[in-house]
Amino acid sequence: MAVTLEPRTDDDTLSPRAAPQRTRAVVGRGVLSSGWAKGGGVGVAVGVLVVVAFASVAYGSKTIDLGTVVDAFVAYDGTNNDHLIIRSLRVPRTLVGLGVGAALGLAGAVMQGVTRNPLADPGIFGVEAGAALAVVVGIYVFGVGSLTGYVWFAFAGAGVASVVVYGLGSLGRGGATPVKLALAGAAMAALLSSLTSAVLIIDIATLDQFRFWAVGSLAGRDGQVVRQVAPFLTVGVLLALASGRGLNTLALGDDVARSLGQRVHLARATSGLAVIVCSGAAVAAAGPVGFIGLTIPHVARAISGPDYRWVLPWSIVLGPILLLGADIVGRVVARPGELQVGIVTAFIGAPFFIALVRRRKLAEL
Amino acid sequence: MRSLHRTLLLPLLTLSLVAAACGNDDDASDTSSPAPVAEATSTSAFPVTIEHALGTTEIPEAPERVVTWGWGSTDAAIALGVVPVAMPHQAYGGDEEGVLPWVRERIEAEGLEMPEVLPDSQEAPIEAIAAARPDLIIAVYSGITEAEYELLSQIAPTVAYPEQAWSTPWRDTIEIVGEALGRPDEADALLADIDAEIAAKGEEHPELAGKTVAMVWATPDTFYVYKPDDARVEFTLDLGLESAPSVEELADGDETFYYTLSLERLGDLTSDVLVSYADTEESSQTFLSSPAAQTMPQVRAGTVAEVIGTEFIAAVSPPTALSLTWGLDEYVEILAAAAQAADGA
Repeated sequence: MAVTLEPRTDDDTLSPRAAPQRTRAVVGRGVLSSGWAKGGGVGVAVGVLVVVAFASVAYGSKTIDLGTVVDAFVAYDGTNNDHLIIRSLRVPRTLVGLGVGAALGLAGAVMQGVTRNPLADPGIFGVEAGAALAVVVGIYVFGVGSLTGYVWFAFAGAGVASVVVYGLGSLGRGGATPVKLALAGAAMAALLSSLTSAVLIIDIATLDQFRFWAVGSLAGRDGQVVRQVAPFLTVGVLLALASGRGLNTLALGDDVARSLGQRVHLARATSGLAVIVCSGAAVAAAGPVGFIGLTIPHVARAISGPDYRWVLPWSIVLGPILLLGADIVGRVVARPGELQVGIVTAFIGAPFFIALVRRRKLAEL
Repeated sequence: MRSLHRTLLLPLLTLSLVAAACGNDDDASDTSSPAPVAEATSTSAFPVTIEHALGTTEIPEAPERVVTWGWGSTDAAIALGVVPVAMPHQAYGGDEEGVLPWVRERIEAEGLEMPEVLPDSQEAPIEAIAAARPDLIIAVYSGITEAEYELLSQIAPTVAYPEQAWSTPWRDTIEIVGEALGRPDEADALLADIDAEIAAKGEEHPELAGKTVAMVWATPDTFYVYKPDDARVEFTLDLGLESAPSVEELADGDETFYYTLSLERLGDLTSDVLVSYADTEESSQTFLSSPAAQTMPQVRAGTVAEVIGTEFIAAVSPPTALSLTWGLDEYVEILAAAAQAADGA
């Protein structure tokens, strides 16, 4: 097959055999092309993130005026319920949302890079469902009772699910095509989450305490959750950022990558580990939250172009914007109750997923 | 597993999964009026005709092989002197065989034959019920679907819930079971006895009278409030307490008998006494020490009645013909302690 600069057909895009043509992908452009514009753009996005984080502290199911919100920080009164709500409920919840959003955005970006699959997402590919099932099994079978314990089960579950999904998706003719991987992932995710539900229904205490392993939520996460999960999220973020250069060369196809001096297996291992740590830590903290990892890398790529050294930082910033935004929506639409953030992101993400499958241009990786 | 429904957990799980997209199944119309007690002849002569949410059932003659399903019907039948040939497995609150402690106590105390325990399943186990060769199936407080009702009716006359699934008031459960068994007078007498016992308990504890109450179940990320028409709330109000106005004010328009409340809004759920359910001491402590709980005046003032333990919760949620006396003393003690704390607060 000759290398060509002609527009590719859909079939080419969805087949790994198009790999030798991918030289073009790296020179593709996002909205922001110059280095200065990209740097400035990240600055603006960080500004938006700060605004969203502030909104997440200021707005919720209970209406609290801004003066009181400020007072909660400058003149904290432990007997004031509004102050208590802001400092003990909204701030930890916002911090967990920041960490989980960044981790899921990154996990999605790295997965899409390493599998060269535009449909990759830790939710769709069953990685989160695997982590959630492992956590529930850890609780039910091994009596694990703390988040620092859950994390290891989440990592194991995420790892096993990743390997199984990739293995299933690679079977048959054509290898691991994007749609086959997505189908294998969706099937595994469905299977794993039914198993989670089955375990939850068997044991009433588990059911009561751990419903959020079925649908992710940021509600009820306290400061302890933040402290316990922060180290793992940090490791995941660093691993993911470290894999940026490797993802760029992997995007050229294994042969080209190797000829450029890339140690392909090392790059894949680092990336895979980053996905597992990011997804596992996110699930341990918030339960499975889908579609952040799917949508964010596409938005990041549309802004900054395909260079993963830019896509990854953008994903870190955009992920929490989407997650916290969805969480704020979930808090205010069902007053005086709340909608779990996992449900809100599914509402936003499912149409995006369908559009992605149908549109050719977005499907180019 | 049916009992999961009774304790609301399964509907809650389902709700959380399908979320707002899914409304109440709406088996029947508005529940603003109390559920009508089955229209039946007041004499014990058969045939008896009972109208319920899924149809009209005629019971041609006195049943000899009764199968019960759901919650409370078994207890009512036994209390009325009819031991079922088969009864549901009660995973929640029941022992390893799925038998509730008050059922086992009554059967062993009177030397009766233990009914066969049906398989532990969500759906009515049609085959196992058929194998028990019933001539009457009673599922007055249950969640059987229309399809299940059709199948069960082919096996034997089946009595479903009067209005909505899992929301029959506990008294009505006893009365309808009495009608179906052709023992309405015995049912009335049984209710009178129970009423007398509740009234006596209420009188022993005048501190309960007029106290407002909110009844809740806290899980780590979701907080459930039971509405006044929930059977367990209704029974608590019979002891002399009143439903707190905040419970209705915060309720959404949903027709279910509970609603969820954001953890940020717990401080708005004001009442003299807070009844908090928990399966274990540990989960109760986890909730009470959480920052969200600290915004509740009841928690700060120590006027929380903690109902802990699956058997104990099962006994009062809702009570049955047998469980009420079994769990009443301890429940009233806990309530009274919280009410006294409210007086001191």
